[in-house]
Amino acid sequence: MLLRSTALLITIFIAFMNYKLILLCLLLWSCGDQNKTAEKDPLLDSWEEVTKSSEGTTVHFMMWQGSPVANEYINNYVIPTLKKTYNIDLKIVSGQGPEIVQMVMGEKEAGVQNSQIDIVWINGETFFQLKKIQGLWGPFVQKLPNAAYINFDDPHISIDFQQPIEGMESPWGMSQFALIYDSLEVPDPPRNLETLEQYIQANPGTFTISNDFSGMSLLKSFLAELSGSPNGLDGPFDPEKYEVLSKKLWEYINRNKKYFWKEGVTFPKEHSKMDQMFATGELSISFGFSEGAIEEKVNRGLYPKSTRAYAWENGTVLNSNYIGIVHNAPNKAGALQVINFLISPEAQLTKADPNGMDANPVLDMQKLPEEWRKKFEELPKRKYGAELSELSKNAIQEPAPEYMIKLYDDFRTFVIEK
Amino acid sequence: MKSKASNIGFIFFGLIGILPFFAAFIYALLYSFGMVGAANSGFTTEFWVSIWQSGAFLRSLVYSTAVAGTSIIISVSLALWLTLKFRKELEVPFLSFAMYLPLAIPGIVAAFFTFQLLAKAGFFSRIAYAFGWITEARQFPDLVNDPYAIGIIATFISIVTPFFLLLFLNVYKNERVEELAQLSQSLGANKQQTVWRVSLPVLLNKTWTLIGLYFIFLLGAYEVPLILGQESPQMLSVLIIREIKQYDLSRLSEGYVVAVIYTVIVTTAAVLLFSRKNDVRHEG
Amino acid sequence: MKANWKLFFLGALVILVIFPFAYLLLLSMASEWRFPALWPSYFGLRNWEQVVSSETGLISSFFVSTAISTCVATMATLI
Repeated sequence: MLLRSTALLITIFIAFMNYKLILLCLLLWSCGDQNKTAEKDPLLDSWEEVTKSSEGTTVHFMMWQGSPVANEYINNYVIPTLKKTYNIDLKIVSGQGPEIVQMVMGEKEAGVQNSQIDIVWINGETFFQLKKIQGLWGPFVQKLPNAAYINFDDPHISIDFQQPIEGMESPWGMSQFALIYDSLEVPDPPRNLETLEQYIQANPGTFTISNDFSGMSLLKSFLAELSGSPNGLDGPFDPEKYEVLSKKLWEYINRNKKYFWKEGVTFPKEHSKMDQMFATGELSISFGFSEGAIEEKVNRGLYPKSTRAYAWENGTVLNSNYIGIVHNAPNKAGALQVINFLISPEAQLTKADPNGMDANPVLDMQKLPEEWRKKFEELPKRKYGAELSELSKNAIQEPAPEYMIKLYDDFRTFVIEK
Repeated sequence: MKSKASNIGFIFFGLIGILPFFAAFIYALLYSFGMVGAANSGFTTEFWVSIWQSGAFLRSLVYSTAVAGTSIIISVSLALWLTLKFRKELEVPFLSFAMYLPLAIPGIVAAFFTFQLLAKAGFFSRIAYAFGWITEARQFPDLVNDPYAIGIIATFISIVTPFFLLLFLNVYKNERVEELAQLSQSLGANKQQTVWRVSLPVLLNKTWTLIGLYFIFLLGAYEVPLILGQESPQMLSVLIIREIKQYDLSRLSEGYVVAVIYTVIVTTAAVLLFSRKNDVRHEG
Repeated sequence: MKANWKLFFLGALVILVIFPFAYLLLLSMASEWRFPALWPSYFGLRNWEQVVSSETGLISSFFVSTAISTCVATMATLI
């Protein structure tokens, strides 16, 4: 009896390992009994009507939950404030990048009319994919009263990975990719490919590139440097340019990878692992978005107080992150109200607190009313991290999404599996 | 009475275990040929060809088999040795409770724990530093994310051994191996012969289906190799999820190709194991 | 002599089993713990406070997990 039930249990386990497929399958079945009430288009309503019809509703927000400070901001500020001010329940669902695309695709394939999700936190890569499968609803941004405070003439806001946003996603935050180091251990960190080469040869095993979004963002900086200028990768994807530059890049990495972490035999799968290894001192240089995201990690005691952030000489990527509404969102009015709140001066001010989420506002200080501009100016400065205004002197635009897709593939083929 | 209960059981098992599984398999099969999927445009064999040509699947299969096989062999040997040497001591309530405890640790926590212990800046590395054996973190040997999967195998062993130990202890009692061993000794066999000719064969004969199933289970393990493995080659589940979650939507189907091949292999193996087991039961 | 050896071995085994639990508990309360320090610079409840205050899904996900494992275990035993 014991044997048999245990064996069965294990078989069930094995079946469950394909749970992703099962979920997709259940989605397929459930498509039959979706109610198909035609919702009237909230874009035609006045803002008062949007406010009225969104009252007492629930909005589902799919977001990346990997940052404790972001979770704290959402759970302890956004959710209670939305409930109090607009009587809207905001429910968080965990998921990022490819997971969002999978969800939207799965629902589309199954013909689901009312998604389980209303709004999603995305960047250009996901925006590109969602547009490809017509997964977004809009254009809605100009409908939002608080969009008046955003400067859409700024290319870092209105152009996302070389694609015009065209009102299909609302900017939420802005951040620059930065490298980080311990200023006590590394007095003069490398700022270009030449000094990086010298640095890792002198300090083998302390540098690596994670095989994920962040690592690829570093490779974009390298690629831009090889192109000879900060604007070298701007414009639509150029396959010939990519071939030439990437060949140089792989040659550079393969030539030096014996000085990488673990002699370049393998690379960390995720950036969070690099954070961990930087925290314990195994790596002496790491990197990340949100200007390296060091403020909270130093405050939490993960990183030493001597941690500093800097940008690559030829520039690191400066981009915005956005919120979109999925094409089959069941509560579009509520979605509009929530997004409008998220880009309000009040919400952006709380989000910018260096002791909180520490995220750069997307609002244009020149467009803000005097009282709000003052409040933003009075915010405490970062104690450890660099200010965006300082770093952005060395910034490049996000190259077209195809660069990232190619880099992923080729980094695996020409570096990891070699 | 008993057969009725087990009929209901099989209906349940069919409804909950097999039906969704089967439907998911068909879906994956269609996806792998480009017949479903928002980014696909109709029947094509290009994904099968590309998986075949890249060789990634075959490398992953060989690697997974080696890792799972090594882990199972070491765990079973260890559990057998503990059973034969310590069965009396392990009947003490406190000790048997202590042996149950590791079963409560989920794979992902175990993997995280292994990483904390064996990484280059981990617990053992710090001890080595304190003793002056190393002067820098990077001198510590590669034990996680390493080419020989030492971290993965160590974690598997620590999860699997308690399970087999409990299993063998149970079988030892239920199958009266103690009495059999005494009988064989009274018939003139020495200790060595008793262990190799009586105790071990009885224990293994009653459990090898389960050992086989556990091997399949490890073959498809996800979290542990995800955290402790290398980027290439990767264990099968890690490879599948990577392909299915990649940014290039036009190539998602490659993940389903691997999933289909993997499912066919595992299901065939499981069916073979179960049918062989039934034969044995009828003979007995 | 032989009994002693066994006792010693079992003791080591018990420590081996309990060690992970103790170490994980230690890790949950530690921070500012850089190589090659043997003991963290901070030891206290800070991490716990943070999780309890910001991760609202924790309790519900705990209940869902418990419900699922109870279901699976019950069914497997019945069958």
